[in-house]
Amino acid sequence: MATTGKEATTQAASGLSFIKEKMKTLSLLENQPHEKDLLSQLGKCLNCGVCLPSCPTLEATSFEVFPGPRGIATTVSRVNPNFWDIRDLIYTCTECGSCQEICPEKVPVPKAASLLRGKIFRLRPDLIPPGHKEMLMNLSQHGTSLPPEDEELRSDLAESAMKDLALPYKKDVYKGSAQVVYFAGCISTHRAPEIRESGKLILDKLGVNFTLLKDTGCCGLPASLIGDMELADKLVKSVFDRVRQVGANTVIATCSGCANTLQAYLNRMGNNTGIRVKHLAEYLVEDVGSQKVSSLAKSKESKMKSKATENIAIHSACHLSRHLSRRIQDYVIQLAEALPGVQITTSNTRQKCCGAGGLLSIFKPDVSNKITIARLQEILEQEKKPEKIVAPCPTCVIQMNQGVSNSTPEIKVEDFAVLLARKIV
Amino acid sequence: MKDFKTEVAVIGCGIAGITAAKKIASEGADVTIFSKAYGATAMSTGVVDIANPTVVKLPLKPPEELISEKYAKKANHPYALIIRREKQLEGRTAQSEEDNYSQTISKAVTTFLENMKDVDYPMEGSLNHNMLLIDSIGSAKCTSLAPPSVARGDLTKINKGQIIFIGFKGHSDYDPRLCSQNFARTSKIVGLPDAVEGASGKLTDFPGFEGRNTLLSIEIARRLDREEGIATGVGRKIGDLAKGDGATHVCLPPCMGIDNVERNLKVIGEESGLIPFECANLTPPSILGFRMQLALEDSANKSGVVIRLPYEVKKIEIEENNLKRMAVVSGERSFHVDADRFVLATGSFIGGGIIEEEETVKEPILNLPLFDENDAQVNSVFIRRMLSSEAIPIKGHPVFSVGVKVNENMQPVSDKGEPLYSNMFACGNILSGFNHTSSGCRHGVAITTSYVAGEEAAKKQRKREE
Repeated sequence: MATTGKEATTQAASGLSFIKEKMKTLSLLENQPHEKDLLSQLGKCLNCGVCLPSCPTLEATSFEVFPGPRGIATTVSRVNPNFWDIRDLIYTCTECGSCQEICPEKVPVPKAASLLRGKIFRLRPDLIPPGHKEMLMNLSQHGTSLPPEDEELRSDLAESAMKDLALPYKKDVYKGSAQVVYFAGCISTHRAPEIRESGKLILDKLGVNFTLLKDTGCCGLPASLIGDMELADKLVKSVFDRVRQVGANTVIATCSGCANTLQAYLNRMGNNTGIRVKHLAEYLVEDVGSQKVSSLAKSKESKMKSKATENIAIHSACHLSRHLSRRIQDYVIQLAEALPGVQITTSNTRQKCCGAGGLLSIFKPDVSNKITIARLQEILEQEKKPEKIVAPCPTCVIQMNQGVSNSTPEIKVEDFAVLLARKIV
Repeated sequence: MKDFKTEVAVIGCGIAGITAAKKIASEGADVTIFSKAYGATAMSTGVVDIANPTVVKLPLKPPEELISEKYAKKANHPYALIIRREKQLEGRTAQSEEDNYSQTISKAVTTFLENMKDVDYPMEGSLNHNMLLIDSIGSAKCTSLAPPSVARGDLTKINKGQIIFIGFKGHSDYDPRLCSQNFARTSKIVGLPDAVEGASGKLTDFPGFEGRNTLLSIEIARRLDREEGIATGVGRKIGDLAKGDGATHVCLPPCMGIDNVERNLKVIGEESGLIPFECANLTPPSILGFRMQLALEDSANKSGVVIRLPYEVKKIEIEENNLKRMAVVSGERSFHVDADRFVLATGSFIGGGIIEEEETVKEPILNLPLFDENDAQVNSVFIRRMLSSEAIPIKGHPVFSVGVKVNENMQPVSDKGEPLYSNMFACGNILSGFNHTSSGCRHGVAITTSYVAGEEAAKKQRKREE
């Protein structure tokens, strides 16, 4: 039986309102103002492809596996994305920011990837990678990205790590009030204790009135990379709540990811808290002065018997040099140059991601490892070979150490804080 | 974050910014480049057009002659300004046309060629010769300076021979069949000698990328660079495809490597028995442009010029008629940088030196007055009034000639011709007086005006004229 025009109109209208309701429940129509702004910035992509040579994932894979930053910008900005289709694209991005750095339109691909991970988290939790879910469990249960170990075991491990480096071990100090908070972050607390301990030793040596935070916890970066923005905000807020409790005006981090996440939060909140966030290198150059660091190192060297020169390559940490500020990566180089007995073989501030960015090491370990090996090869192909790679970020250090054990055991990887501690303490 | 100082601040790290900074450094001043991102240089053709004829037809007049005949006659063209400055400096008064030979332009070109040679990216060509290249759709492209891999395809130097066109399946930036078909027409129109022929265009699989639907130029370039054996394989395939065709030359896509182009082409040449060359790049992404950008950066590093990237200059504070300090943003941080002199080499629409805002054009850092090709101020003119009624007009859309007007010393001036700030200079694509898309002198203007701006900016602070 043929429907009349009126009936058809009513049917169509009810169908449309059904779709609208359905979309509302999926919150598909609710782009927040900041999300709209971000997506419109993404739409500025000229499709010029200047970014393509800069992408570490594209370099390690192929267009078919990962079409690069241009692929993300054009796919995501031109249509409302289908999460099933873009899932791999979004989680394979290291969010390193190499593309945004040189993009004439400054298209914020890393932020867009985070935004979409957030949407997948809210709307299609079935698409969250299993490794991410596991980390999320740690984050929501313990407030750290890695499962915390027994405190006694942790301090034993820290002590023995320092012994290996021929450095003293000092017990954790928690003060009720201090000018400076040393925020160690989860990776150096639970995975690479020598970095956390080195930070303590350096600040101690310089006579800084600092405290650690009880239950250091996480800065929130891993949660935001997984897409749980609520948890990420809760974690970062909790850091600043505790900083305020001890009345500190400066937060120092050795981890580039922590430093950037904390600073970005302050900027987002209007930057009017009177609290400064500083990466260790920045604090040393701007507040202490590289001359003082250099003279401490010289006086230690004069007491040493052997004066062998270490050849080091400095790796550029994305969260420091591309997200927080390139200037701080320059400070890292400046400090290393001021150390006696250290020869820098290469310090390209535009070196690409180590492979761990954006939790790629969890989502696609094989791709991540390929990227790492490309970075190691780049450094080893230089005319002058270093014995050591120094990175100002624990994530890079752990990632590159894994790459070294897989491929090139002749080179060592060390955190910048550890290098400094060895030189001045 | 703490503020810092530099003697001269150059804003922009494209061909103009880097050339200016190198000139400043060579005069002994302390110079730093601040750059927001890559601009048009990194996606450009990667060859330097100094002076192109309006209609490309053989025989091509050399750039030197065209500068004097065509460009210098337009009083506000950057070349004319450079020539005028030279005459003023030398106290020459005669404005005769034969007198339009410019020592400065010639020195700027020589210096540019030396700089590129210094970083193992030599470019061929001179002011005495214009090359005729084939671009990626088989049309004729005139240019003055090009890397050897491209210059080997200079049709004015190929007196006899047959060119075969070979590309790779999935690589949409270069279709050899299209290129070959169009070249057949092009060669008649430009008047190529009959002894130079275009042969067929053929597609082949790129080793390791068989069956790909999409293949990026950068993937081809990287693979060729990484393994020498790849070039051997490609060379053999080309040899096989060319068999029986009587070809002498092979026209390849402009992506035969990044660091090892010459090695790769040498191997391809040996294996195929043909003379291989890269065609001129037409559209971005451009490996040729990327290569030139990297070479320029190397060249800056070589003379100790630091490129601060990404350091975005948001604003420059003004004191009396001097520029004082720049507000800079880098990542999540902002700070100030003091400088004595400033060089604006921020480019045009792509570089971000000129932006479109509320339907008109704007210079974003200082809101400088902008002018069109005829020296009319356009700051509040609607963009649509600066468009031609034709889609692709031979003279280019007027909006692409919009820029900052400068005097002979490359100082931005007001509508009355007075310098706006005593310690500021501008060069490259941000200048008005020529059309970036159609004047055929874009990179040429960049390397010459930045040479002059560099020379002026290297001089110690001059006092404001009371």
